[in-house]
Amino acid sequence: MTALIEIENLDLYYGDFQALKSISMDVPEKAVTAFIGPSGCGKSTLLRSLNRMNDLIAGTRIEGSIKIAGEEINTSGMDVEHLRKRVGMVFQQPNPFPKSIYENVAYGPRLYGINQRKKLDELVEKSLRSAALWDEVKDHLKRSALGISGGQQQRLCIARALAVNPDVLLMDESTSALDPISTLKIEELVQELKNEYTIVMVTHNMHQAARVSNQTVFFLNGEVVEYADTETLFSTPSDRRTEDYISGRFG
Amino acid sequence: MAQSTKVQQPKPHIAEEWVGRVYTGICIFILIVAIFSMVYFVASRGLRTFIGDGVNPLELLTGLKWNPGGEPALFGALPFIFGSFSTSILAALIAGPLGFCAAVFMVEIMPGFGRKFLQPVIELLAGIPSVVYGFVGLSVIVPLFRDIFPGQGIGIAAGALVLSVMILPTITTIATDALAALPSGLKEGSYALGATRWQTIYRIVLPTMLPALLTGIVLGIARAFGEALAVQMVIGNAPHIPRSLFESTSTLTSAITQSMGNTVMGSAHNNALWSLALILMLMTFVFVFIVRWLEGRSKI
Repeated sequence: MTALIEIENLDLYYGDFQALKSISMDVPEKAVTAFIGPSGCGKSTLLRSLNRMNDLIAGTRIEGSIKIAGEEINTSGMDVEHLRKRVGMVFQQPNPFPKSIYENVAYGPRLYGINQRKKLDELVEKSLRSAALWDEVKDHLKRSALGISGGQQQRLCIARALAVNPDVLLMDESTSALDPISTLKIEELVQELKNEYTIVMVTHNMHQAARVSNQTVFFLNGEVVEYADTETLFSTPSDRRTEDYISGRFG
Repeated sequence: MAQSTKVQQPKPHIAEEWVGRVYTGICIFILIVAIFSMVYFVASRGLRTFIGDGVNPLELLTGLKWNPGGEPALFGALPFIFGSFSTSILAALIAGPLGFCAAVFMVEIMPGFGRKFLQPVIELLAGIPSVVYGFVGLSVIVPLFRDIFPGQGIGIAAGALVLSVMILPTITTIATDALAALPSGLKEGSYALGATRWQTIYRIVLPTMLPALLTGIVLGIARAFGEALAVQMVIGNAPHIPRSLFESTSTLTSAITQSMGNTVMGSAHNNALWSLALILMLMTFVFVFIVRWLEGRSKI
C-alpha cells in the first residue's frame, strides 16, 4: 500500500495551548484509517489539518509538514479551496444546506462552474448512488434536505462531498449523532467507498474502529501513542496506555 | 381548633398570584382600549370624508389633484401615496444592501471591531432625532443635489437618502442577529466543499437569512413610511407627482403635518387629512402582516 498522506513533525497550537505534538505518520491510499482516543486528545484537530479547516479558527498556528500525493499543503501559497475539493469532509452533526436534496449535491459542482443540467443530473445521481441514498430519495429530489431523517441527511452530506470527486474523505465522528441502524448503514457505506477513496475517520467508538478500519491510530494528549493495523492494535497492543484505553480502563 | 386555624392561615402565594393577574390584566386592558380607541378615532374621522362629505374613495386613491379647501374642492391623494411609497421603497433599496453588508462585516469579517465599535455606532443612528436628520438633509444633501442634478435638489431622491440613513439601524440590527444565529455547521459545510468566503456568503448565507433580511427591510419601510418631519424638510411639499427624482413633491405624512394646523376641525379639508392618516394606518397594518408572514417562513 502506498502512502497518500505523509505527515512529518507536525505541531499545532491554539494560542498558547499545544494541541498536537510532533505528529509523524503515513496514511495509506484507498484504505480506512481510524483515529481513536479520549476527548481532547487532538484526533479531530489532526483531521481538520488535512483540509486546513483549522484556518477558520483564529489563533491557530501550525508547524511541520503535511504532504498529500507528494504536495506540501502547509504553505501560504496553497490553494486552500482546491485542497478542500480534493479532501472532502463529513462532520459530526449532519449539516445539509437549507436547499433541496438535488441542490445540496449540486452545490459543489456548481462552485466549479458546472451548470449544464444534464451534467449535474448525472453527477447528482452518481453521488447519491455512491452514498447509498439514491433509492430512498430519487422520487423527491426537489424536496428540502431538512425534511429527511438524520441518517439520510448524513448520507446526503457524504454524497455532497463525493460530488466534487475528492481523493480523500475525512469523517469527523460522523455517526456519533445517529441511531444504531443509520450508523450501520454508514459503516457499510464506508466499506464500499474505501475501494475508491482514502478515508480517514475520527471515532469515539472503539468497536466502530475495530469493525471498519484497516489501520488505527491511538492518540493521547496530542501525541500518537500507537499506530498499527487495526487487528494488531486491538489484539496485541504494544503500548500499555493503548491496552488500558481499549480495554476500557480509562477514556 | 388546631384544624380551623390551619385553614384560616393566610396563603401568600395565592395572594401574590392574584396581584400578578390583576396587575397584568389591567395593563393589557389599558393597552387594548388605547389601541382600539386610536383605530376607532382615526377611522371615524377618516371615513367622514366619504360618508359626510360624499367623496368617492376611489377619487381619493386615484385622483391627481389635491385642493380640499378650494372651489371646487379636489381630493386626489395619489401624489402623496406615490410620494410615500417611492421615498420609502427607494430608501429600503439603498439601506437594504448596506445593512446586509454591514452585518456581514460585523459578524463574518471583523467580529471584534465590528461588534465592539461599528454596531454601537450604527445603533446610535436610531437615537438621533428626526429633525436633526431633516436639518442635515436640508443643509448638506439638498445643496449637493442642486449642484449636481437639474432642479432644486429637493424631492424624492433627497427624501429617500435621508430616510435610508434613518432606517439603516433597523435593517442592520435584524440582519446581524439573523447572521449570528446561523448554525456554524452550515458555513463549515460550504467551506469544506472548497467554497471561498464570498461564495459561501452569497450562495449559503444570503439565501438562508433572506427572510430575516426582508423582515428588517419591511420594518425599515414601515418606519420610513411613517416618518414625517425629516422628509417634510427635504421633499419640497408640492402636491403633485414629480417628473424626476429631484422635483418637489409630497408624502402622506408631510401633507398632514403641512396642513393640519391650518384647517378647522370638522371641515372637509380637515376630514380629508384624517383620511390620509387612515391610509397611513392601514398601510402600517399591511406591513405588520407582511413581517408576520416572513417570520413564519424563516422558521423553515
